[in-house]
Amino acid sequence: MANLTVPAAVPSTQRSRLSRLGGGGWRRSRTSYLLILPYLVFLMIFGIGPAIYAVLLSFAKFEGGVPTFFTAGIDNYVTAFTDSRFPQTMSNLFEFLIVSVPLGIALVVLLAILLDMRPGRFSSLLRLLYFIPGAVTGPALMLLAICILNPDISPFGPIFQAMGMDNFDSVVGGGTLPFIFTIIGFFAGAGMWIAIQHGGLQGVSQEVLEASELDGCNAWQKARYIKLPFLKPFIIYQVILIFAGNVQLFVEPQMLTGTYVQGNISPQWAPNQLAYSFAFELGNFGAAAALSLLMLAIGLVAAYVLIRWTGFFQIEN
Amino acid sequence: MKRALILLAAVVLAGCSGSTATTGPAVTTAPVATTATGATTAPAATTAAATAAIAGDATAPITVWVDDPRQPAIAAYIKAHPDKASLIKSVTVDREQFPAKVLLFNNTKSGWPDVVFAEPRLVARVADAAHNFPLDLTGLVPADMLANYAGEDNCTFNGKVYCLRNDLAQFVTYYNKPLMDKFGYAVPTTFEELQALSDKVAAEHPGYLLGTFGDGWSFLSFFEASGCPTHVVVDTSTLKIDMTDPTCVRAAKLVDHMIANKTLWNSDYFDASFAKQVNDNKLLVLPMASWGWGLFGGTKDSTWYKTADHQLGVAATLKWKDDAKTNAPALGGAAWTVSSHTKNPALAVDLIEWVTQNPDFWAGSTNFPSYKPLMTGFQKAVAGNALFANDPYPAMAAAASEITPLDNWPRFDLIVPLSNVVKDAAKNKVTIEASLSKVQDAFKPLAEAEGYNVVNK
Amino acid sequence: MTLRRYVGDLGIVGYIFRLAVLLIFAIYFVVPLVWLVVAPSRSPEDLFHNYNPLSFGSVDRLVQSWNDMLAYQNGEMGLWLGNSVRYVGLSLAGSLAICIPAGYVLAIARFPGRRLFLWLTLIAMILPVSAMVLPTFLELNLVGLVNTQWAVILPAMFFPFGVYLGYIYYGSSLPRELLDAARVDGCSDLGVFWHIALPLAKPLLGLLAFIGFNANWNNFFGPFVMLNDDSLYNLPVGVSTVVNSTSALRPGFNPTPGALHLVQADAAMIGLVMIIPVVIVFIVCMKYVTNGAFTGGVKG
Repeated sequence: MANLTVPAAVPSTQRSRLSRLGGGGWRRSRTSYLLILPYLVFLMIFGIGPAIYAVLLSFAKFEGGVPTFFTAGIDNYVTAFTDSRFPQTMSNLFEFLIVSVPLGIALVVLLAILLDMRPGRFSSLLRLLYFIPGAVTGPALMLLAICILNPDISPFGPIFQAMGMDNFDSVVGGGTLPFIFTIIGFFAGAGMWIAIQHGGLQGVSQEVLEASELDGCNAWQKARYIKLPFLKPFIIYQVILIFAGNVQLFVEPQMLTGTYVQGNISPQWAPNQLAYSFAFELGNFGAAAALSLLMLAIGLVAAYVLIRWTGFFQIEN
Repeated sequence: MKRALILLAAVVLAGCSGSTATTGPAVTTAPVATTATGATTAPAATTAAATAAIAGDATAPITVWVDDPRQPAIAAYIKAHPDKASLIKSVTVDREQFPAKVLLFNNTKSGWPDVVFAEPRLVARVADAAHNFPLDLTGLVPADMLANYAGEDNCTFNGKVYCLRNDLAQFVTYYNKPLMDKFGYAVPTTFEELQALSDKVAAEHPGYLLGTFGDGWSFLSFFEASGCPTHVVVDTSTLKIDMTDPTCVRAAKLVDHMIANKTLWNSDYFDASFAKQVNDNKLLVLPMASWGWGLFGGTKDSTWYKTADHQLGVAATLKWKDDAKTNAPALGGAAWTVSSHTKNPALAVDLIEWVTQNPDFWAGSTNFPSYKPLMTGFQKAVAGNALFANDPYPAMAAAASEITPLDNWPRFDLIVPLSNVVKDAAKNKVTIEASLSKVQDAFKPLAEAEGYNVVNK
Repeated sequence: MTLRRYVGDLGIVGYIFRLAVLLIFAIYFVVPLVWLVVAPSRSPEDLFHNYNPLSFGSVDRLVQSWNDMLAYQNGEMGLWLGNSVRYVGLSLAGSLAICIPAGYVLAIARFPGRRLFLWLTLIAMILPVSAMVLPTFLELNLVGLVNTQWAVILPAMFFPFGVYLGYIYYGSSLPRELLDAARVDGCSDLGVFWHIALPLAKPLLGLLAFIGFNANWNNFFGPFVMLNDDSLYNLPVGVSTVVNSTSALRPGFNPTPGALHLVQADAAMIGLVMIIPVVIVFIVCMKYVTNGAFTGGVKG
């Protein structure tokens, strides 16, 4: 399994020298703690603190939107999981994950590698163009979604119509939704990940690439045997975050559920929307916390599997 | 990495719950003699007496949450009451988010705004136990002044007055006068006549429209007008839904009939495809809210008529022939509410009274005012408008006192679930009549989550 | 140049495949952007009536969109712009200063608690925001920071994504050999970080800078929850408030007298203007990313 300090790109002579030296002087913890201390403070205040509080909230009873702790037992969990909308949100989420995660990862890696095969102005320009959509948010993004997904007025109208979808409801409704959200999500998020993979690829050693050329490798073989393995930790990171992030799908379905601009879609399509509804419409932050913890658990399980399987957290071998 | 969550929370429309005004005919028959100054001095006299009696700290500052168009109103109040200037702070917010913010403040026990410009359906949401926000205005606003607000029933929850109406959105019947004259059609006054007209149009002039039906708002426009109990708020914990009632069935049959003969378009009022039909002059009749004329050509935002002049006729709200009275649906309208946590209720109440009664802001508005003495001002404003083929005021004024009690909203959103029922029916090619039970199916879990017990009778 | 040399080690089929894929995706990403660029020049009728969907409208409408944006509430857009710049500047500086050393240490050093911190960071990253809102709000309320700029800046300095990226980056691209050589030369641990690891982190810095900038510039939810005073709003919250009180995205309902009537063109214009700083930062940062590779540090 790959681990981080001995990337395949480093020639074997260097590798053995490194492993002999491996980590000797760094057993001194003091400097480590010093360098990491500010981060730990923030981690506690804005990360773990609220997380613990959220767990407490899930066991609290809410009155007037205000919690009384430890009085609810598992009521909030029952409320959240027996809500009639819950099963449908989970099944929607499942469909969405199956479509969005593999496609998202595969396409990002493909595009990053393709771009990297010929570094230069054209690639840089494309990387920029792929990224810009990620900067569109708020009302502008909503306006885009409304108009681009409406076959009557969209530049992609002919494509929708060729697929038999000739009004907004047929594009945004029922079985198309996992794909629509994938399309919007990819539009907004892929560029950033492509840029990250590009950054990762900068670490591939020039010597190794030149050596492989002398050995007769073409661009595709270089990609497959050198670049892709080198990207592995970045790809794993991406898989974990995309998976966990997609579990928390919220923005895209919420945008298309306005009483105004609205597709044929339930107002609580994704589990995170249901959590939001518990929190901000009913004032039941406890049930929202319960649902959120479930989403956290799903993301963590996937992360754990990946991390153990790939040794993502190991340093030296 | 979490993407920033965009809280474009359900862009729910102003669903003003309408109600019958307590003094009906006075609005249209007795010309209100108050002049501009009259309208302001009369209330001031009673307010002075009333404020003296309101407990609270008269020197405490208040925070007012408004939207941008309302800022001039607050500024004008401050100008007219310079001694209060230092006490009033106004902030522009998105009012859809106000219920969520109230929940946060309940946790910190501070920070609530004192006055909020919202809508009765939003006030309904914050009137529940979890939010516990509005102040009961009974007694703080003199009863005779309250009676001068049309549609005030939508602000009354369980006997308590939680807001003061700003404007109304009662339905009237718009029609294209030149076209109706050309085809020789009479403007329908009842739904039965509408149906008969639809048959004629389908036979003689296919492609012309008598309305649209494609989302929750248009659904309510037909069903509330019929008196169908889709969401009767019996009390704070009981909701009655009975889709088998004959009033529901007759509305469904009418809609199905008109969908079948293609005189009803299939989208919401603002869809591009519907706008195109109107632009192409295919719309003969449209029941719509009293502010709807702005869409037809009255303002910069108009999307419907290309040229304005003398095309738009306004007729009385449609009713079913045998109904004793008209049920005018309502689509929108705003209201002001005061926080129960405010330290200076006297100032808050005085402010909201003043801004809903002052005629200067209402000049040029496309909104029909709730405060009755202002209605003649609206009449003057529309009288000269070249858009209209006839005087729109009588129909609107009559409808103002006929707003259906069904326009009292429960604590959950009605529109999105209804829109989904309508769209599913269209997609699966099922009649609305056959889909009636789906309304109950859609509403029941939402109602129960909000603490309602759902009954059928 | 012969075809073979031009096509190089891609092969002809490969060359065509590469070009085709890249261009198809370019269309996918760019066409909606073109639509957005053209939208401010189109009136509502123009936008919603099926003329050529990408056609330019009128210059007048374009100018009006620009003016509408500036005129809003006595130029409050400018105030929000200033707020946004301030919030982003401070929180970006803070988060970079905090997470780069943290990522470094996690990648390089063995110390007790290392794996724990990695797991805690992951948990903090994937716990849904809707669960964290109330607790964070209450925490900040305790110290009286709600409705102040610090309620926006401080939470934004917590950047676990950056810590992880630094962890991966240093782990995969920093040759241990270099660090050991420096220590052999007598450099202290801190010195090694400051003199060796940090200067070699240009690509990382570039990556984190634009990611952090984009996230902070478009940060809506945090400021929305924490701020009630419109003079403190950043651009996303302010713009959302403006647009939601007009008929730009809620056509027609209750249009109100007197005030600014924003329509879709204005929403598009504002959206476009907000993209520009992000694009500029991206372009600048990518130069760091591409040119500042580690490979220069290791002799063959």
